[in-house]
Amino acid sequence: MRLWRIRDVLREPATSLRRKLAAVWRGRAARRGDAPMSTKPGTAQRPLGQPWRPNPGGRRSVADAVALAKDLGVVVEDDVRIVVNDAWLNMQGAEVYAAYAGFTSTRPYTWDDLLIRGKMVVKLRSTVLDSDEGIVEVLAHEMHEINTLRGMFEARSSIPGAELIELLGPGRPGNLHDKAWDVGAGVLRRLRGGIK
Amino acid sequence: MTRVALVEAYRGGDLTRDELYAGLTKLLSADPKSLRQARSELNFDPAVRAGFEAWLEDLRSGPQILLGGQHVAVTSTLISALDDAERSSTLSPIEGEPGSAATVGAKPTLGSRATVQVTDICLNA
Repeated sequence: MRLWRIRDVLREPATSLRRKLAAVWRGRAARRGDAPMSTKPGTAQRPLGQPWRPNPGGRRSVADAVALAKDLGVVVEDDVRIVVNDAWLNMQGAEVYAAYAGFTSTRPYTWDDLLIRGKMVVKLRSTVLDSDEGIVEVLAHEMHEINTLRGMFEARSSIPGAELIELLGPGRPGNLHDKAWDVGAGVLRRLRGGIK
Repeated sequence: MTRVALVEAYRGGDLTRDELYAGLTKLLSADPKSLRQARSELNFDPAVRAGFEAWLEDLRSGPQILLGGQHVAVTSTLISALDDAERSSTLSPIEGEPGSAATVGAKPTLGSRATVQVTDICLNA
């Protein structure tokens, strides 16, 4: 059987073989989670504290949400602007609760590249504002990412897009995105435990 | 989110330029036929349009794109549409762009930019 396969391989044109080898390589890369065009998020790279308990009083304003997060120790700097934009987030996926910036691996980024008129604009899903638990977990996650990036950009004038994607992308356990959900879960535990 | 809403969100200050380009890439990957309209919708700012052309050129090299914490898949149909657009632009330039009939060899009509410029010169003289 194996002998026949080798014979078949030897008969195949070189271009066909190259295509098959490329397909095998792509498959391995996808299984490792580093496929360049993968859209599948990795495991444990989403909020850990769900389901979030809805607020009896209903939806909070963005200003109230920021105040709540700050009250629990989340650092929200003045150059962060939070806006509700469900259409944008729906475009990214049903389980994307907040988002900021976009990156390509082909260029480097400065901190200023991530700002719009001097502000880091975080798009937040409106339903997050229905729950204090959702608010603190999501904002703690986003602010941990943003504040870590801020520190990195203070030390380095620019960072390659590929490195930022490595830090913030799905499917890379232990990266900044992953750790930020741990931070979010920690703040949520403080809220649930009544600890400030 | 529609293409028009995406451009409006950018112009309203909610999206960075790369968020706009990555968002357009996502939409165009699903609907490569709208490439021409997408390009024309960015004509409000030559720098934004030029940046998008450079972004599209980069797509051929198979970059990783991250948007909203998710990877953006660039479809082969979008790459084909880019190739087709490039081929057709060398045969029949897009109207209103350098090399097109509207800008090369076309006679200025009353009220056109060329006519206004001539009037300006006369007034200044």
